Amino acid sequence: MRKENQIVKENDTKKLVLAWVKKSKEGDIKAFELIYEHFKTPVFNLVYRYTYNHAVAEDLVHDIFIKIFTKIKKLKKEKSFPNWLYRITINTCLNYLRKGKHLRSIPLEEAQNLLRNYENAERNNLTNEALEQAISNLPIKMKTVFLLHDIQGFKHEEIAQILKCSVGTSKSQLFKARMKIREYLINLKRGK
Amino acid sequence: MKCKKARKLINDYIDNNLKPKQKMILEQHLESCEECKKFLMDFKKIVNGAKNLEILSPSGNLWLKIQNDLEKGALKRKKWLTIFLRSYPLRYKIAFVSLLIFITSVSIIGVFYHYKKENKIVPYNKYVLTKLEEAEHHYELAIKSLQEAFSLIKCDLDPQIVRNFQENMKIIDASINDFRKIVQKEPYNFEARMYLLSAYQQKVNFFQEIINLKKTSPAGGFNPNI
Repeated sequence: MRKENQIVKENDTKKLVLAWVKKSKEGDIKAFELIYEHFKTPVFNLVYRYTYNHAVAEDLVHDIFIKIFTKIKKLKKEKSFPNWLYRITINTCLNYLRKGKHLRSIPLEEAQNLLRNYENAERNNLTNEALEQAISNLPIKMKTVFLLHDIQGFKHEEIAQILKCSVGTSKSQLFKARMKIREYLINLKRGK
Repeated sequence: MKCKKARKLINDYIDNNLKPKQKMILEQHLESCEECKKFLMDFKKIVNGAKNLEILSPSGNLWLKIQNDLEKGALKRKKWLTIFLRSYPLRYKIAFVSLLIFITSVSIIGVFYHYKKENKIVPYNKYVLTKLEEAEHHYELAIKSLQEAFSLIKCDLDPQIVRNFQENMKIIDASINDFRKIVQKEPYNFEARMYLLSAYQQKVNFFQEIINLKKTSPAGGFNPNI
């Protein structure tokens, strides 16, 4: 029953988004504001985990929504708006990373705190800091699939559409990403 | 089942993507393999940890900034040139701007020399001269007709008057030539244009006066002094 309710709710949301997209295509900024309100949190979280900088993430989110509003008229399949939005988001982040502006060194104190947190944590609990650190060290392709699947909750079929790759590629990249994170956490625990 | 294969299945097992038969085989393996059991635990921790990561939000005024930029039409200004300048390294930007300056300079110099070589005048000046030429043409036609009329009555006039008249005509013609040269050099010179046209007008007036003189006074009492 709960699952059925969830499906109904999802369908209603999809219809609403579709209506906002149609109005936005006509230049309606109010409708676009609703799109922004609906997507701002997942988009911001995705962008943040590429940059790990709140201010830079906000700048990129700003650019992404400006880009979306200017290009929305060219969007042919309105139903595929969410996929299109995430593709723009990922491409904007990748362009930013390609410029090399993201490189930042982790201060020694920050690294020591991270290790201390991890050591102090209960054996079965994984600290957010350690996991964030592990994610930030993932290669881009693996990171993208991991963020979309394990954090944003997309299915492999949806990821394949967003990234324009095969479902198999999405699955294998996710496996590699999880393996890398595990390896990183084991090394962190050993103090390497 | 080998551990390598079991670990790949563990990945799908966590996401509930295994077929019942695969699931059963994996679970049997896990019962007997401590390493793979630990591997499963680690993967579960990662997946659950990812779900429980902090959910961040952009600041409240971000929409206002976006809205402001949309309403200002900032996007229109963000043309291809801006995008180009933002996307490429500095050396490409410098090369591009230098090339742009070079092409613009060559075009301007080329146009300047072309006009100079062809002795062409800029459109505005050309227009003024054309209109003046039109006015001159009408005056010339009027003068030609008046000259024909004058030649018919010339023999009936006092020869002294005719001589004086012709000398005055020479002075007016010289003035017309001088003013025409000035106007060709400086088409925007309003005074020169006025003098040129008034010289033509004077010539026409003289012809009219001398023709009227014949009509009103058969004796030819014309005052030649102007």
